[in-house]
Amino acid sequence: MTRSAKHIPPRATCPHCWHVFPLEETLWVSSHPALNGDARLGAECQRRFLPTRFDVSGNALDSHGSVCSELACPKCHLVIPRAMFEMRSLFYSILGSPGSGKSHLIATTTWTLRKTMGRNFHLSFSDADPDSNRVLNQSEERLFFNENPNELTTLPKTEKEGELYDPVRFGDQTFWYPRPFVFSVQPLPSHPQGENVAEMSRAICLYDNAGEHFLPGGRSSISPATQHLTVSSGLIFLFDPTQHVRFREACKGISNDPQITTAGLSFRQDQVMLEAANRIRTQASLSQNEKYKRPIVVAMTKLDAWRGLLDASFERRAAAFGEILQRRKHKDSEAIETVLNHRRIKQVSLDLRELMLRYAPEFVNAAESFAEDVTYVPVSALGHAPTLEAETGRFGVRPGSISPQWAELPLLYLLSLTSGGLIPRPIERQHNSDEQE
Amino acid sequence: MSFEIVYTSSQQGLHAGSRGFCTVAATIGIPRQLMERLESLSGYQHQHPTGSKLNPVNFCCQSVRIQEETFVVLSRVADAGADFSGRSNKIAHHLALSLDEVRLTNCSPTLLLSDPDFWFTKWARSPEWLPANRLPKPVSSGGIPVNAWKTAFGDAGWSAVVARSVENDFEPVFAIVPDGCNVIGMVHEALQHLSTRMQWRVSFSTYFTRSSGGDCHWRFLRDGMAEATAVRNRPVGIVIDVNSRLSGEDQKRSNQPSLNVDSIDESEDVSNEQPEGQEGFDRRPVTRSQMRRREAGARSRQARLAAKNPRERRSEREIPQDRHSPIPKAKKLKTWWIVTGLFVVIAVIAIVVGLIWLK
Ligand SMILES: Nc1nc2c(ncn2[C@@H]2O[C@H](COP(=O)(O)OP(=O)(O)O)[C@@H](O)[C@H]2O)c(=O)[nH]1
Ligand SMILES: [Mg+2]
Ligand SMILES: [Zn+2]
Repeated sequence: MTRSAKHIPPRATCPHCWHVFPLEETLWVSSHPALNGDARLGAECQRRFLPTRFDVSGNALDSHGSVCSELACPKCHLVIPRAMFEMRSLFYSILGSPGSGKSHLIATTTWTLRKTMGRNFHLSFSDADPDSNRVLNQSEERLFFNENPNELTTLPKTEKEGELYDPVRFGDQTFWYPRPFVFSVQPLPSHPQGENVAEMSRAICLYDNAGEHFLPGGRSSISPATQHLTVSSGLIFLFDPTQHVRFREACKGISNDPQITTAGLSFRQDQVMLEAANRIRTQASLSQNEKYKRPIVVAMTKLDAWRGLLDASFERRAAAFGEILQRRKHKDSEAIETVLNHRRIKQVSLDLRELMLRYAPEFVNAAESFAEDVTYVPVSALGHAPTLEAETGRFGVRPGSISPQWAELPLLYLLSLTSGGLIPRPIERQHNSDEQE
Repeated sequence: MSFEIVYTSSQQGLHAGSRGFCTVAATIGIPRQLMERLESLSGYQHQHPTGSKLNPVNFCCQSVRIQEETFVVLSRVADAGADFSGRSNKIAHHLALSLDEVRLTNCSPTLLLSDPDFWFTKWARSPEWLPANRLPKPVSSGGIPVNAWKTAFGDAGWSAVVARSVENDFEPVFAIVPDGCNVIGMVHEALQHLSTRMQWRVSFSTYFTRSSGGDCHWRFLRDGMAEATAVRNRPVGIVIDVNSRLSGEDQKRSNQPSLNVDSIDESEDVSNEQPEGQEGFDRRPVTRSQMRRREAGARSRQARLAAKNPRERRSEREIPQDRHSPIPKAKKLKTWWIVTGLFVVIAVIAIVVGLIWLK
């Protein structure tokens, strides 16, 4: 591994166990079939080793002389995508109660960004490691590439164990680390900073936790599934009005979403917020008086179900909100760059905050007493209500009629605040961006 | 003492505030670490939409160590239809037996896993603490349908191939099986080649996926799922694959009981030459070519093992002895025909020569 370039941080953060280590401690994954079996990962995994010999292109040679290409964490031994060594990493946490719409929103976000990042922001957005993104890709396929667009389909309920976790053995103890979704975002030549590809590129890590992990008491000593909260550059909290008693009541009669009309679910989402705040405070040694400095986006999900609660003035602004992209000339070159219209986002956030104060003031209080910068954004991953299948009791969606609304906005907004100019931010706003080194 | 947990998605869990996927029932006094460990073994991947009868059940037996103590965990993990939030649900029921209890058990784990009255298949009541020492009753051997290997693979002899992996230093077995076959029966048949003591040392999973968690010696994978493709692309251990194509010659031979490794290898070599999509699909499985090498290695390792540890000989003896014959059955048959043929030819020549000489 040659990494003399100055833009590459001298340390890496493992996206599985969040161990921060100097690059020279990076392990390699042997490739000779005889080197089967690793102390942490079991008999079927290739052995990890600290290399002493390399080939001409800088790839390590294992003890049998085979050329290796995969890199692994010195602590947990899990494979780390190469992109995370070649560019700076950014972590974002997505949290919310069970059923608030996390899995649907992540799939819709990544699918939309794949389609639009090039056109809108002159950025490429791709899987850094297709294998670790496998579950997410399956979800995207179900929703957006389905061969039967008119038949009901569902995304499975996210498990607290299993496919999205990797077991790692430390002596007699086995820990289950959540599998990250890793993307690489790189400027295209037409990007105003297209010449600084190496410096500008970012590896972005997201996690799809089961909502149960965020519930009070949901922490498990053998599954440190929510530790990413501490390393994240920003949080996306999914607030689901259809799970809030007073929102549900207000929506009766104006919404025919079965999540509102049937018995439905309700959760104390303020408790979920407080629990997350608590975990971050403990892990990051933040005192009770200190506020969290990184941005929190409260994504108010399932907009299609509660849109009727918004008044005409919101609708007027929401129409304008549709045009959140602003084009302008780059300050140092002739290139035209696209920026997110933060002013509009903030206006809409104020409207939503008022609505929240009316129905869920306890949540506003929980979020704003923890963090300095809270922005409320309306999103709908599906654009319409799911259908309740009478015979199975299952909620399903018809892929053909999915039309997301602003689903990707929370992540775009965080990127524009914390990615160091990948998505240019308007000049008037400066944020204490704190990227992971 | 044994401990149980039942884990599923429910409106209310056993612990205050828990809901969604959580433990809804557990034995009074279960150590917290054991409970968390059992929860982590509850992963389940739906092969079909939730609620479909086609979703396989994962019957599992494996050992876990909690601090100084080892438990053998019997589990039943399966689909459980839609949950209260209208999304896919599963139910995992685990029973952790202490080694003392295992020593007192004198039946196959499969017979305990088949007790229909013990294992929960649904949880529709409030969470509850279960009394200590609830144990499944072994079903009578008749409770497990027979001929599982014969039905799925056309040859009952595969059960012995699986069983032999135990002698071979517990070499992992990956069996790629078709949808809807009786996998618990297949495990049961394979276990019958081993002593009860050895049966409890084998860990198995009747529907192994990336979600399952834990390591197992015998893993049954469903044909068509990503896990099966991964094993086909990068075979480790013994791979028994239902999806093999054999030439006409092999089809004929497949009608004879054929347990010997040589004929298995030959059939694979021939099948490699068979173009895709041609006639000649056979239910008889083909193990990978490394099997022959492994068998050879296993034999020498077995010999070493037996010499070192006379107690281990017992399980070896329980495996049909013809598996150890230096000349494989098909070759024996061939030799018999050649010898008889030669004898007949010589006799005919002798008679003809005799007749000519008499004239
Ligand atoms: N009306 C509406 N329902 C949604 C939307 N997104 C997700 N849902 C429903 O919300 C439920 C929970 O979604 P899921 O993504 O599994 O939630 P998670 O537990 O937070 O991952 C599912 O039944 C979806 O059909 C949306 O945009 N609008
Ligand atoms: Mg989910
Ligand atoms: Zn790590």
